[in-house]
Amino acid sequence: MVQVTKGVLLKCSDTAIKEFIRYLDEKQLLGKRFIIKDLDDHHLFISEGVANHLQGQLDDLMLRNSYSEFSTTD
Amino acid sequence: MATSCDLLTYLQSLPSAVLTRLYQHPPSCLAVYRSLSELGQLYIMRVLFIERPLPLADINSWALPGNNLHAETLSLLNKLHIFEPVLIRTGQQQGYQLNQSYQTNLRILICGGGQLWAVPGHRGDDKHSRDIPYLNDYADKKWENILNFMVGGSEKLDSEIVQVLQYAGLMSQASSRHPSFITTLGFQFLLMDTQSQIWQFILQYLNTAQDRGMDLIDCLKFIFQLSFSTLGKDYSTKGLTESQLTFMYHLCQFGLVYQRKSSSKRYYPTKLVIQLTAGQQSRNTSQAGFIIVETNYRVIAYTDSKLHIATLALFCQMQYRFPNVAVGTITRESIQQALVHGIKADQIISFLTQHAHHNMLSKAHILPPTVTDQIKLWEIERNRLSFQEGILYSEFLSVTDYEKVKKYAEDLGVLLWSNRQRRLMVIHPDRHDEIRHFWKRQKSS
Repeated sequence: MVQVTKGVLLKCSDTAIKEFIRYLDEKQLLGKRFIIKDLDDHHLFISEGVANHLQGQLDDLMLRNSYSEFSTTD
Repeated sequence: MATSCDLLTYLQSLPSAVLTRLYQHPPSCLAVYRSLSELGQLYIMRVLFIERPLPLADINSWALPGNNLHAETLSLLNKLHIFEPVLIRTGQQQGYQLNQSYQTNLRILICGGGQLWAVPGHRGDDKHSRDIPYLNDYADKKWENILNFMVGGSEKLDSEIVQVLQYAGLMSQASSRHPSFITTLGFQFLLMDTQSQIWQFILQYLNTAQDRGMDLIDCLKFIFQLSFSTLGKDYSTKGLTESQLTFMYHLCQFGLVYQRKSSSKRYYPTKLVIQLTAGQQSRNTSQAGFIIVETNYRVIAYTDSKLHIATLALFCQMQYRFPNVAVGTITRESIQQALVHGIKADQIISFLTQHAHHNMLSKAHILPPTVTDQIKLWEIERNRLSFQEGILYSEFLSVTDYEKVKKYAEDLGVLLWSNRQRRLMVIHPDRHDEIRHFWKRQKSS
């Protein structure tokens, strides 16, 4: 029997970012697991409604990894 | 060029009936003609005085085979319904014919004759006549006021202007009690040059005009007619339709047209609207550049305009402000903030290039490449994830089942991702029902 699941196809431009997403999923940093299926090196199938959270988490990560002389975060 | 391209893209999106009605209006014909590329203009001239349809083979012989420009121009003329496809009876050949009303009107424009469009000053002398410097000043002030309001300046505007900004999709309001806020389109709008801004504003305005019960064709005719009028002359409101009067009233609010009172029987077009359709030549180059970008990401703006500084502050961290100069720095944070608002890296770069100080123009690269590259890299950094809604099909019992569904989805053009080994595929949700029906039919047969 074919199983049908609604969700979002997430395309990652590199594997590093995909590992970061998987890390978020495993540690449940969004409060819950959201990866439905790990498709391949660049694709994940995830549940609906987390896209904005993920983009936010990515922005945070990039912010932590960058230095600015005017930085107001720390 | 970009501006006239926008007009053409917009016209292409209109249904053919609208375009045919538009072509019954001579100024519109001329405006469309002027916004075409040179090749397009040449092609129209070639067939202007030919009564019979031309076979496609003849038209294709105008250019060497495989010439992209030729094919593009031809398809553009076709989409604009200037060239209309016809079947030529003898031999069932495919051919093209110039749109009848377009042909008639363009001939009149070239050879003379026909009715007068709009006559300046035929209401006699105006007691309150306005000269050109006054009109220029008026237009600049009005337009700048609006931009100032959009960047969150202190200027208070009539609620009606704010509403027109909302019609144009530049501002948005959650509810009537909340203050309106600027949209993504609005941010992008601020970084354009004035002429593109006006086109963008007019096109967005027209997009929603029909929903408000206005006649789209009347508005288009009016704007084309305005663009051919003379600066500093007054025109009569006589003969304008209801839609055109409403449209003009809104244009007045934005400084595109001047009216002393809204009940006044005459109006003056301002420099903002005149020459809109003249294409590339009229691009405003008189405005001196004021921005210097250094390789250390420092931005120095020799300006005292609040608007310019507020626009720069959209993507710069401003640091010092002196009477005639402001200094800021492009940082990762400031660019990220702009990107979050929906501004694109290319728009920032083109804004800086457009307003570059003349000392920077003499260099091989107007902007330091390290700065432009870094801005682009900062943009790419955010685009590492892309999301698309989809439906996952899994647990296929056999490879043949999988192949059948995959082939069907591929034919529909909705297959987003697939893997044969694991018998998985992701489908665009739009056509899910069709695939489900297909699968049911397959199983029952």
